[in-house]
Order: sequence, then structure tokens, then C-alpha cells
Amino acid sequence: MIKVKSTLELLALLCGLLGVMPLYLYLDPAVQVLLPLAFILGIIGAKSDHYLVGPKLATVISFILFGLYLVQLNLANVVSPVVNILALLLAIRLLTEKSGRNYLQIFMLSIFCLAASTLLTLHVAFFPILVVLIFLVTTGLVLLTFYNQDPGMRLGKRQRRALLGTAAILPLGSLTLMIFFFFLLPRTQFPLWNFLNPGTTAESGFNEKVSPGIFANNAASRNLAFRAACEQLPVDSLYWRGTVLNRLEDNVWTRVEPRYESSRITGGRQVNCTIFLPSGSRYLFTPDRPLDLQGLRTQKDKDLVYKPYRPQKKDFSYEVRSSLNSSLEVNGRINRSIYLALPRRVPESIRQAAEEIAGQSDSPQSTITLLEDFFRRQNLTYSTSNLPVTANPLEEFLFNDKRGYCEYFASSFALMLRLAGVPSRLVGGYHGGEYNQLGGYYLVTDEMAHVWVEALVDDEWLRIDPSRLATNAETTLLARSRRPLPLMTRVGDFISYYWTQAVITYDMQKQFSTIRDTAKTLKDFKVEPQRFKQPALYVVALVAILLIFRTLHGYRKLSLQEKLLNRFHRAVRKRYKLNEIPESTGLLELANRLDDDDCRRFAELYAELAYSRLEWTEADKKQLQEILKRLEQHKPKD
Amino acid sequence: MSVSGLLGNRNLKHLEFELEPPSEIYAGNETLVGVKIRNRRRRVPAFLLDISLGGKPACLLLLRGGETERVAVPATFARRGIHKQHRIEVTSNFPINFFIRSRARNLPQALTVFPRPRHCATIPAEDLAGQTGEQETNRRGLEGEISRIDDYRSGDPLKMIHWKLSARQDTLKVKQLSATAQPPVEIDPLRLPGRSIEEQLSCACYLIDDYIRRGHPVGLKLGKLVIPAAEGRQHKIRLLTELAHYDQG
Repeated sequence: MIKVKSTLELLALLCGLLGVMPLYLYLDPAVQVLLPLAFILGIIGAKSDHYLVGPKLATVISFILFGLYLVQLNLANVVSPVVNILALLLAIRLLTEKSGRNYLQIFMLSIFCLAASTLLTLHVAFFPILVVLIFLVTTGLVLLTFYNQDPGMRLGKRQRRALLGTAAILPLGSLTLMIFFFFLLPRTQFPLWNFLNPGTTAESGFNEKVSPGIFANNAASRNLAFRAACEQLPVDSLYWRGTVLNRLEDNVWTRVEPRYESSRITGGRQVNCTIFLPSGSRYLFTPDRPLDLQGLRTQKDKDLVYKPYRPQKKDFSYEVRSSLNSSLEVNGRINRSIYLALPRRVPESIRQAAEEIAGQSDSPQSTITLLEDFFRRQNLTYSTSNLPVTANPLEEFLFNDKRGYCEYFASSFALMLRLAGVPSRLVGGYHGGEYNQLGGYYLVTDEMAHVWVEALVDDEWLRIDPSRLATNAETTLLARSRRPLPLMTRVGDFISYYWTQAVITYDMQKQFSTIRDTAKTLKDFKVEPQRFKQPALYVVALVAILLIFRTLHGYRKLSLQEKLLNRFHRAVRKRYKLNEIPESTGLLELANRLDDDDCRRFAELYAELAYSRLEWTEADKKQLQEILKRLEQHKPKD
Repeated sequence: MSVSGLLGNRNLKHLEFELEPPSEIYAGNETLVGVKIRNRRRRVPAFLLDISLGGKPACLLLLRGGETERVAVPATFARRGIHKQHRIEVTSNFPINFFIRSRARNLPQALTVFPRPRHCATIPAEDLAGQTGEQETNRRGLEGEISRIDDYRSGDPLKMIHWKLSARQDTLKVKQLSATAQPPVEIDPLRLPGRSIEEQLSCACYLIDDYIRRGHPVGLKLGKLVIPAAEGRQHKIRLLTELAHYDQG
């Protein structure tokens, strides 16, 4: 027998834990310290039935803390005070002795805490936590009903089992309804939470400007940059175009929107891709080079740079059609001076090297080849750490330290091209991607951020990736995109991907299309027996397997004595054409009534064995089975 | 809410009730009436059933699928006679204590309610019968004189063991006492004090119970009906039943 109160106490603690878990990292440090303390004191209090804080003191503390956070509350700062207040109220409730009403408060506060966590993060963990919390809270509410009937009530094992079996219908039903309403309830075109929850711009590996030499280390994380659902593409073609940087000033590459130029893409292999980007992204990434982009209002620049028309406040997606390894031809006039502009100060060593190359070259194409040779000769290595921070990072990179990451390679290459008279620009984006076979999409992380060069040769923009000229390119840059993510990360990302697709980005537009599609399916629904033949077969097979399993399972649970008795009853019923043998009829009584020697022998032996000995020997079993065999062989009597 | 409403609604469905009344029910006195509840669902249990018969409810924590349970429900019947219809009310706050659902059921089952026993001025037994004084009978009793000594037999009360005699002999000996007999009385309710027939019946009810308790054989004269004096609980119930049915049409 277990006290209902003990179970409630445990459920309250678990609910509290689940409720604050997603919030914890966002709470004030003081609250972060208080919460675990409250949990520990709550557990000790429940165990010893002695609580440190009385109900009156708890109310006073609650009011004080509430007041403290209330004064911090204003339109610009809503979320933080609210989540801290919720967590504190929960902590205080856990500390004190609890009445039925207090348990209810804990359950509600736990749910509020979890709900408040969505103001701070839309992590996929929310869903499993919600499911478990619903199970715990509803079970707690049912137990609370029993507790209110009698606070000292105890429940036995069978009672608990019956109760939990029925109580489980509650969360299962609620979750089913929740899913149903998720798809059906009207929603606004813009998320309501956004005014409380301004989109946080995560630090990304992708930058809008390129300035090598600012940081000694460029350790981008493996955080998600975006996902691209498409077929698997050749590794060498995995260039995701983001922005184009065309102005170089004081060692910093920035972007000036090109006005008077047009270009066209020819050749290449066409692919369709759906890109899922996190909120706040200012550039739309596309497989290089993009033909067109659908599903989002965008601004397209002449140099194939797409930007969202207005900043997206939540995760979003769009479809893009691209042509891999295609040619980008300048169509009409182009302002070459933009792409040949040089910074005010260019290190002498770089200028000399570029002029030397220009002197040897007779065409832009050969300039590129010579420059590539120059890069190879320099024995440059790809590195992201312990890089020198100097006033002339490119000179340091090319001639002294000879180590750098993509920005060094691309910046110096483009600069030298310009010095040698070849128009050039940088393209910023990502290179590589982890293909998730499970979901059929590329996972692109921040560490895959990349910069490469486009050089204008004979009215065609050529893509050059100078980072490939590093002596260790095979083992660093290229290996990076081939290095698989751990299995758990891949599975986790797969779940997160569908979470984003199914829940986070489910807006009014998707809701309309879901309803429209469902209506269309129902309208076009035709009963074609052929279509149901196979599923029906599966259902029949499944039911049959379940029935067999149930029968076997039930049969296995019977003891040997019961099995023998059942067999005897079956044989007797068959032989004497009896519909049913009343349970009240004893074995010996039945045998006497039937006046059958075999039955009598079975009954006598069975009764003797059942009532006189503890263990049945093999010989006893065999003897009974032989009698049964004889009984079964007899033909039914008329 | 909707799921809990559905569960709560199902919780009160498919229940069968049957009254198991005590052998003696007196009008106006609270008594515990046994209620047998059967759950007609094969698997689904019912929880937290509060069952009432117009008075305080009795709670049944759990009733498993297909099973039958009994609870004693306090009930008060206002008038004597045969009660044929009973309103039984089942309420439950299962599964969540936000709402209380209830369901009432009319139960056709005949119950005899005896008149309310009313203490009326003690009427001496001699006023109700000719004989006085105690009379000894041949039957065994627990209060009379020692009639003989016998061997102990299983079931004999320990206080009847004749310890002195048993100590002298090898076997336990018990004292056999003769039962004292009280003179028979005959009660005619219509001659008893009371402002109305109901008061007279109440007084008769009290006297029948009192005399039977004291060991008098009691007879009843009620109009044309005459029941000879006798003892025992069955006889008492017979007399009280006649009082209950009197003048009920």
C-alpha cells in the first residue's frame, strides 16, 4: 500500500523539474541557485515531513519576490521577469508543505514554466517534455481527486494499476486532441510571441564582410546554419551562395549593390532545393548558381544575391532552382572599374608579385593559372588558429606565416587578380554539407562558412576557390565537408528538422494548404477495392498475429495443472457433446455423473495429485496425459 | 476538459444497483442500507463513487470491471409501511476534481419499514397478561438455577465451567442452568396510549421490542388479527411487519 500523498509529492517534484528544465539556462543566476536548493529542501521536507518554510512565510516571500520582478517589468523587458517569477513561485511551492490546492498550483506552474520557455527557445526538446509533463500532470490531477477525498488514503498495487490504466486515457486523449487542434485552430500570419521575443541573431560563421587578420582564431561552431532538402550532390559542387563582396577598402571586403549589369546562366546541371533557414537571416543561401527562388518575397540583386524582402522573425523556408557548375555570362555592359578598384594601401611585396604575374601573362585566363601556380609555390597551409594579428595580414599570409583560412586565400587571390588587371569579387556563403540520408537533406553548419573568388574572364564569371591551393586542402578544407557528424547528432538533427518543418514553420499559409489538400483528397476519394486489397491483407495478418500471440501468451500463463484440466474439459465436452461444464461442478462429481471409467481415473488421479502432493513427478504427468489421450481418441457419443 | 468529461461520464455508466436492506428498519431512524453495485463493463473500472439514498453518501473507491461490491449507505425512511421505489444517487468527481457528475436511478424494490419505536410510559407486564413472576422452564439457559452438571462440550461458554468440580475430576465439567421464563404478554396497539394511531403503533413497536428483549413471549391483537404469544427474533419481525402494514390499504 502506498500513500497517495507520497506519489503526489513525487509527481510534483518531477513536474517541477520538467517545467523549469528548458528555462533554467535563461534564468537569473540567483534563481538558478535557488531552484536546485528548493528541490533539495522540498525532497528533504517530504521525507521528514518537516518543512523549513511555513505557508505564511512562503506567501510573504512570494509577494516580495513578485514585487521585485514586477518593478523590472516593462514593454521592452517582459520575458525575463515573467520566467523568473514563474520559476520562483514554483520553487517556493516546492519548499513548503503542500495541501491539495498547492499540488494543483505546482502542476499549473510547471506547465506555465514550460510554456514560457517557448518565449526563449523553440527547441525540439519542448515536445517530448510537453508529452511527459502532460502524462505526469494528468496522473497527478487524478490522484489529487483521490487525495481530496481522503488525504491519508493509501492505494494497493491492484488499485494503482487499475487507476493508472484508466488515468492514462486522459493524457492520450488530450495529446490526440492537441495534435488535432494544432492543425485546425486559426493562427495569425505572424507569431504573436514575436513582440515579446525579438529574433536573436546568432553569431554565425557567415559574415557580411570579409576582413582577414582581425582575429587570431576562427573557430566556428558546428551550430546549424541552414538545411537544404534536395538530392545528394557531388561534393565539389556544394557551394552555397550567400553574398557577393565587391569593394575592398583597408583590408576589408564589403558589398556595394551593383546597379548596371546583367548576366545569364548557361549550361550546368539543374537541381531543385528547399532551404530551411533560421529566423533573422539577412541573406538567402542557394546552391551556386541560382536560377530562381520561390516561396518567399525576395529582393534579387544583379550578382545573384537574394535577400528576404523583410526580415523573417521565425524559421522559414523557400524553394530554389539552381544550375550547378554552370557558366555565368555577363549580358550587356558591366562596370569593370568596381571589380578592379584597389585599396589605398597595398603592400609592396604583393604588388610586385602581381605585376610579375601580369608581365608574364598574355590573357586573363593565363593570369589566373600563373596566380594559382604562385599560390602553390608559396606552400600556403590552411589553418584557423594562432594566426598573426598584424597591420598587413595578407602580406604576412603570403610571404611570412603562410597560414590562413578561406578569407586569407580568397582576399589575397582576388586582390592579386585586381592588381594583375583581372576583375574579381568575393562570394561569401558555405561550402560542403552533411547529407542526412534519413531526411534527404543537407545539414550545413557554421564551420562550413566559406569565401571564394569569382573572376571575370572573357565576359564570364569564373568560380575559383583559392583555398583549394593550400598544401593541406585535402586534409582540412575538403575533409571538413566529408567528415561525418556523429550518429546521435545526425538523428537529433533529423528530429529537429521535422520539428521545424511540422511545427515551427507551420503558419496560416501551411494551414490553408493542409485544409485544402485534405478537402481535395476527400473530394477525389474513390472506393477502389483493388487499392484496399493489400492494406486489408496486412490488417488481417496483424490481427491474426495479435490473436495468436494473445492466445499463446494466455496459455503460457496457465500452470500445468490448469492446462491439463482445460484439456480434460475440452475432451469431455467433445465426447459428450456438452456445451458448457458449470464451474461449480467438481471433477469427481462430473466423472461420476458421466459414468466414464477414463474420466473417473483422471479425476481420481488428478484429485489425489492436486490435494496430496506438492510437486508433480514426470510419471504423474505422463499418466494423466495418457488418460487424456485416450479420452480425446474416443468418438463423440450419441 | 473534454477528455475528463468523457471519462467522468463513462465512470457512472453501466452500473447496476440492488438494495440489501437490514432485517429491521424503523421509520425516522437512520439505518445503514446495503447497496450492491455491479460494474457491467468487462474491463473498465469505476472510481470514487459516492452513493446516497437521500442522506449522507457512502464512498466506493474502486469497482473493477465485471465485479460486484457492497457499501453500507445511511438512509432514513420517514414513514412506516412498504416502500416500493427508491431513488439512488451516484455522484463522482473522477477523474479530475473540477466537476462533480451525478446520476440518479429509481430502484423498484419493496422494503418494509417498521413504525418508529416510541418510548411510552412503561406498562407493567402484569397489565398485559394474567401471570406474574418468573417461571423456570426445562430449557437450558444462562440466568436460572443450576439444574445439573454436565461434561464440557465445544461451544459451551467458559463462564459455565465448574472449575472446582473439574479440578477434582479429569474432565472439564460445566454447570447447566435452567432458563428463566417470563410471563407472556399480549399487545393491543389500539388500547395503548397515544394521540393517533401512528403514536399507538409506535408505542406498540417499542413494547414488542422491549418485551422480546426481556424474554417475554409477546402476542399481538390488532383489530381482527390475533397472533399468539411467542419469543424470538423471527416472531418479533413478524409482529413488527404487521404493525408496519396496518391500515396501509
